[in-house]
Formats: sequence, structure tokens, C-alpha cells
Amino acid sequence: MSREFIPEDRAKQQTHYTTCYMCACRCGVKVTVDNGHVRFIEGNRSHPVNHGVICAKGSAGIMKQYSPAKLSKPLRRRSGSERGAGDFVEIEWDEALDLLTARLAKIRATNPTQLAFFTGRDQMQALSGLWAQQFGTPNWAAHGGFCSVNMAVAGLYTIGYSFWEFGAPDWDYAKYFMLWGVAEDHASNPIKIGLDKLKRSGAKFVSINPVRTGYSAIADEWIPIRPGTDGLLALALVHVLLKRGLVDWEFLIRYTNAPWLVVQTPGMPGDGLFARDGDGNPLVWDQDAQRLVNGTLAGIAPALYATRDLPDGRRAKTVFALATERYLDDRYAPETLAAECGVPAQTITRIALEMAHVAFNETVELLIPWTDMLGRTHHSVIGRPVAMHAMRGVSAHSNGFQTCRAIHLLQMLLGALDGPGNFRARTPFPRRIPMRTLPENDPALIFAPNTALKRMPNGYPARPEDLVIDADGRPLRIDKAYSWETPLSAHGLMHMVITNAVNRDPYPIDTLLLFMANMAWNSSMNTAEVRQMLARKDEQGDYAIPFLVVVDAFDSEIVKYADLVLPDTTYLERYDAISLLDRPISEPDAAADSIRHPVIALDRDVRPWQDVLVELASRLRLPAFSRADGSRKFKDYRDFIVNYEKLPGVGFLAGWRGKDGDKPLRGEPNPKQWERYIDNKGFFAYQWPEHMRYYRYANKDYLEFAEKHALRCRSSALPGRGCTPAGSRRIRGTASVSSHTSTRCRSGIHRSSPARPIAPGIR
Amino acid sequence: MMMYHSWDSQNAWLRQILSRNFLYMNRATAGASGLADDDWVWVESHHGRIRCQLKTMEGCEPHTVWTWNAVGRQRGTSGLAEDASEATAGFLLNHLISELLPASGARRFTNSDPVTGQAAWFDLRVRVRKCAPDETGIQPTFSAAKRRPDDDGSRPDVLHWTRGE
Ligand code: SF4
Repeated sequence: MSREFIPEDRAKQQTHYTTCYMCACRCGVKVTVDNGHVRFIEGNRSHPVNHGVICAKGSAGIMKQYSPAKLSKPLRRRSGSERGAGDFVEIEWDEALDLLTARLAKIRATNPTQLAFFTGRDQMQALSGLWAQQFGTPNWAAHGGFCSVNMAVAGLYTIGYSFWEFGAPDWDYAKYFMLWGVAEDHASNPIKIGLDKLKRSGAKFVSINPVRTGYSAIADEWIPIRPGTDGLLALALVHVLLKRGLVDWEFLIRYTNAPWLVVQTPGMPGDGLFARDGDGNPLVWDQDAQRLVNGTLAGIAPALYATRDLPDGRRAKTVFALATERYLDDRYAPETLAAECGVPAQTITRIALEMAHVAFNETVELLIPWTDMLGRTHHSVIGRPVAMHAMRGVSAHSNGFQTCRAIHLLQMLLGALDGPGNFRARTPFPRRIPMRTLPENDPALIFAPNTALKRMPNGYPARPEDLVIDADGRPLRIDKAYSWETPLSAHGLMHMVITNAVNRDPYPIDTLLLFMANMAWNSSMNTAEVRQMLARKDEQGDYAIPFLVVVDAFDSEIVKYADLVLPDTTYLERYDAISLLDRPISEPDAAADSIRHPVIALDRDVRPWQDVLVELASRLRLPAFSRADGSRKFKDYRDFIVNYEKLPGVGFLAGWRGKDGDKPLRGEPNPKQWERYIDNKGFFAYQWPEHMRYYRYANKDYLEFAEKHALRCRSSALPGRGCTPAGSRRIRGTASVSSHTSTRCRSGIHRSSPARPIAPGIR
Repeated sequence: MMMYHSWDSQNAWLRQILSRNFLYMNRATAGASGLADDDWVWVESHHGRIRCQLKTMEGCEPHTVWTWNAVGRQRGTSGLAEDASEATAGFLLNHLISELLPASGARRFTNSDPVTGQAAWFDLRVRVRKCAPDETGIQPTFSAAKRRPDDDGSRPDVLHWTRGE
């Protein structure tokens, strides 16, 4: 069929800059609107994430906007109809909100744990988490538990930043790039741009993946590994590096806890914990002074290998001695692991030697003076240009946490962390290790009627006392997160909520509120049975999960099971803040956040979920959303974003703060903040000066700046515990090499000598 | 990844890239097992079995099978026509994966990383068998969902996209 060509009247079209929401990557887009309709979507050339690059999905956002799956009106399950039959009546928003407010108010006034609020492809977790905390339920999380939480937790507990969007390969200087498993997700266009750079610069791209799809198609070497064995491969690489002494000794001594002494009292309390002095500082063996000293001081010569008796008679060994003993064992030899991994031993050895060659013989040195956290000045920045990226593929296994730690261990041995050419951090990371955000675990608060939680529902436990369990050790959360079953479940376990609620294990709930998550289909394991559970009734004929609320812009399998459906807008119809309090769009060289704003008008009776959350919070008089007299503090989401302050001067958007918009990162609210973002094509970026761009876990100027601007918690805010005691002798941002077992030891042989870029082998 | 984080809208343009999935298997492994492209196969795990169609490929580790997430849909959902290939030929592996591990003592633990609670989707082991000649069509299937009150069910066969439409 031929159609007549009619040239477009560009004068009648408008362009708007906003942020894509077709995947988790959050590229900047330029949307052309013609007669109130989306005409086309392009990349935003000035955007820090994608620099104008757009993918097939991003440009197909048009067909999201005009999808026949769009919901158009609040729906209530027809009374008398069975849940799951999808028999709905349309209702007005007033009725929907009255209904929900009454139910939630009753829950909050009796037992707030009866509300479970879980979100899927949510890009507003800072708001939904705050809402749950203010409501007073611990039963909140986003979908990280069934996505890639292993990468986040392993990274944050090991190096203070992580794969996901909390770090990125340095595409400009990398000479060797290893992509572990399927990892095309959170950084999609940036990886494409990066791979293009690598191809142009002649870097080598190695893909370790059972399936050669996606970016692996253009890898220089594809290693078809057997699923779930990436951790073994990483440790075999560690074995080769240790055996040949191809290790960045300076890096380990200066920036990791490799020289710290670990108590060795098998079977007794304290075994495996760091040896500390009376003030809580970690102890190391000083080779010059020949005595135990506080390992956080400058001007000492810590031994990497040492076994020493502590003053109280307990024996202690350095972290590195323990790690070396474990990973030099034949269990980790390439020959041993080749069959398990499906990778020939020669290949494993060759890859290890290639990485070491690039790290130590093709070192990048940038003449940028900087100062480390102990005040030592350096005339240049040294980069080991071996970059790595990993995500869902290695994450979604029951050994994914350990796999990811093994990859970070490999990076530490190579000294390939936040330097030119390797794996760089993105603000607000690196954070302290462990992070200072603890999950709420006080049963008195958790079960208290009409009371907000003091801490957020989610956080990062550091001690058994931080687990979210009762006095008898039973889980306090419906997903059993932070219980002994999964102690570091920092993103919750959304995939367990329905099963646990129906089994009343640990307790039944009243209302399940789901946002953007298809739990009756692809987001649940055991889908057919989970669908039966959603419709299951007890002996009295009541649903095992009494009330199910689904919030989404689109129809889906889970929508059919809802008792109440609240229709959301599309990403082109609403305001959004992609916040530094949440999962921002920062790049290694710039702290950055971004917005969405309506580029087309609404044509149906739907409301942005953010506005509905603010509305519900106001109706329920949640403290952060209400004035002392109970009246609402915020008109809507747009108003909330401008005026809510988490700390003085710290809000959801970091750009153009201060009443005149002249204070980046921290300053009082600016009533014109949205306009400034829109004028700047939808984003804010704060470029780091050169001396704050690298080694940020140990970069004095960066760390001080980050604390001042609340990008990192202040030392004074610390509970005095964990590996970072409060006070002036704290050590900041130390990456942690770990090990637990021990069989034999070596005496200390290495010491700091700044002039030596490549260390000798183990003697 | 053409549908990654975009499953919700059943995007008309992305559906043209892929509107149904297959089980993908190494070609040599398939050949050695008497399997070929477009064969119907049973995929069995400790938890259940599904029936789906096979495609072979070279770029796959010999002991691995895989498919795309969430291409298969329940009939009558997501604004799709009832005979959409997502519902008639697309499938989920989710039916094979249990959220609980097989019983150990009195308790069943979550099928997750024991440290972080990460869902262990990719730990699944399956057996793939060729179906009998009369065994075709995906399994399991679900009855068609009822249309929403605001959905008249009309779906264009051809979609033109020009300005202002
Ligand atoms: S990679 Fe960027 S343009 Fe493509 S879907 Fe994701 S956010 Fe949109």
C-alpha cells in the first residue's frame, strides 16, 4: 500500500527533554510532540548517561504511550466475583482513595505490619521507602531481592561501591575488559558507547557467559562457562595471581585491610574477628617497630603476612595470610576447577596472566596530584587498566554473593579499583564499609500503632544485633529479610511475600500493595501455584491475603487478581525525580541526577502513583508529610520534591538548591527547581575536579567534600562499632579482603615502598 | 533484552522483534540427543514440567539451556489479542522453579542466596526430552482472562504511525 508523503511542519512541533523509562538505564531523551501526540523520541546529546545514543526500546517508547494495555480508570473487583477472574467495575478516584485510606488507617491504628508494600520496576524507592517507614511497616522492599541484590550487597560490604549503577568501567582508559555473565541491563547504552570506545582503542573484551548473546557477540574472547561457576573461575584466577606474586602489594597495604590481624581461636567466641586495641582500632604488625600498632595510622610498616600472639595470648593472623593460605590451595588450581567451570586450565591461566600484564605492565599514570585519607600526598594517579562489569547473570544464583566477592577480591589483588582504566565509583558511592544504614528492628516500634519507624525498613546489618528478628530469633518481616535465613537481605525478598503470607509464616497480613510488579506471572517463581495462592481462601471463606491492591499503568496478569487497581500514568505524562537519595545517574566523573516531567497531557482518568502516595500519606497524617496540626505539608509530588528535606539542605534533587538556585548538592529548597532542571534538558551534573576523581574510598578531599554535602554519612553520626570506630582515628573506605580458614602462616615480608609500582613475587 | 523492563506495555514495535520465545540449546548437544530446531520438548525439573518448542544455536555452553524472560503471556492480558503468539507459543520457565527448596527436616528454606536472599533463578537443573509426535502446543496453559471494562477488544492488524495520530 502506498501512502502519500506529506512533509512535516516542524514549526508546529515541540521538543521536550526528559528521561527514558523503557529500561533501568535512564537515558536522557528528546521527545518531539506534534499536535499533542508523541511524534518521535531521540537521544539527548548533552545527557551524561547516553550522550545522545538511543536504543530500539527507547525510541519505541511511543508505542508504550499508545499501548492498548494502558489502564484508564480505577477498578474494583465486582462484589461476589472471584479474585483472579478479572471481573471489575470502574470506580471514581474518590471512592478508590476513600476505600484504601480507611483500610490503611485501620491497619496503622492496630498493627502496621499488616500492610506489605512491595514494588517492582520502581525508580522512586526513596519515596516509597520513606512512605513505608512513616506508615510504620517493616514490610517494604523493591524488587532487588529477585533481581541482583547479590551484586549490591557483595560490593557494598567489600569495596563500598558495587556493580549495578554504583560503579562503572572506565571506558576511556581500560585496556582489558571482563564482562561476567548477563549484564546488559542497568547500564545499556553506556555499555554500548563504552564497548565502541574499547574497540577503537584496541582494548581486549573478554565475555564470560554460558550464552553468547547481547554484547558477547562482539567480544574478542568468549568463555562459555558452566552456569553458577563464575566464583570458582574468579578464585582460580586469584590462585594464579597469588602463586606468581602478580599482586599490587602497595594497594593492598595502603587501601585494604589485608594487613589487619584476625583472631584465630577456632570454636571459641571471637574467632575470625579483627584483633583490636582498647579503642577499637584494628591491629597490624609493624615491621619497623616490631610491635602491634593501630593499623589506621600513617607512617607505619604493616606486615602483609604475619602470625602474632596478642597481649591476651590469643593468636592472630593477617587477613592476607589467611586469604593466601586458602586460595593457594590446590582446590583453587586451574587444573582442579577446569572441569567444574567448563573452561580449560590453560585458558584460566592465560586470562590471569593477561590481566596481570595489563595491570602491571600497561599501567596508566595520570599526573594528577591528590591526597589520601591519611594525608599522604601523591604526585600522580596510578591506574591498573583492567575493568570489569557483572550483573544479573552471576547474581541470580544461590552462590552469587560469594561469586561477586570473589570478583572484587580479584580487583583488589590487581589494585584495579576506582583508578584510571578500571572499575570506578559513582556518587554517592563509595560508602562506608559496612554502610551505616541499619534496618529498623525494634519490635516495640514495629508493632506500635500509629507510629513511624525510626530507621528505614531496609539497611545493612553489621552485627547479629542488627537482624530484624524477635527475642526468640523469629523473623519480624513478612519476607523474613534480615533473619538468620538470609541475614544480609538488603533488598528484601519480594519473591517470598505471597507464599509466606498465605502460609502465615511468620504471620498473616491484611493488605498487599504491589506497584509495577507482575507477581502473578513472570516475577514469581512457581507461577501456577502462586496464582492459586493469590486466590486461596481459608476455612471461613476469606482470602488468605484479604486485600490486594495493584498499582500499574498497564494491564497484566497480576492486575486480574487485584481487589483494587490504581492506574498510574506513563513516564511521559508525569514528574519523577531520579535522586541521589536513591539510585542516581551519577557517572564516575560527575555526581548527577535527573527528572521526568509531563511532555504530553493526560487523556484518561489515571494519576501518577507518586501523587497518590503523597495524597495517602497526607490523609493518613504520616508525620513527614503532615504539619503539627495534622494538615498536609505537601500539595502533591512536585511540591514534595521541592520542599522535603531529609537533612537540612538535602532533598530529593541536588541541582540548583538554595532559594536562588545557586547552591549545588546542598542548600535550602528552591521553589524554581523543577524549572531549572527542565531548562537544563532534564538533568543536573556536578563535575568532580580532577583530584577528586580517583581512589575515592581513600581520597581525602573527596571524602571531606562528600561528608559536607551529605553524600556520605559523617563520622560523628556513626554508632561506635564495626570496623570504623568513631573518633579521629577512624579509617575510611577501606576495602576488605576476607578469609576465614587457616592452616599455616608466613612471616611478614612486605612493606610500604611507594616507588615500586609492581611488587615482587611471594618469597 | 528487547523486552527487559518494558514487558508491561506489550510494545507494538518491540513485539515485531520477538513475539514468542523458544528454548535455546547448543546445536551439538541437541544433535547428540536427537533434537532439532522446532521440536516440541518437555522440560522437567524437580518441581514440574513444561512443554515448549526448541531452537538450537552454536553460541551456547553445551550443558546450558535458556530462554527470554516474560515473552510468554496469559491469554487475554496486557492488551494483546487472544490469539497473540505470546499467549499461544510463548512460555515461562518460572513454572519449573520453586520459591522453596525441597524440604530439609521440618522446614523449607527459600530458594535464594543464603546470605542476601537473592532469588536463585539460574540454579535450576532440568531434563529436556523430545515430545511424542502427537504432543504439541505449550504446557501449562491458562484460561483466557476477562477483558477490562474499558477494552472493547479491537486490535488493528496493521498499525500506521504518522504525525498527530
Ligand atoms: S538503554 Fe536508554 S534509551 Fe534504551 S530503553 Fe534503556 S533507558 Fe531507554
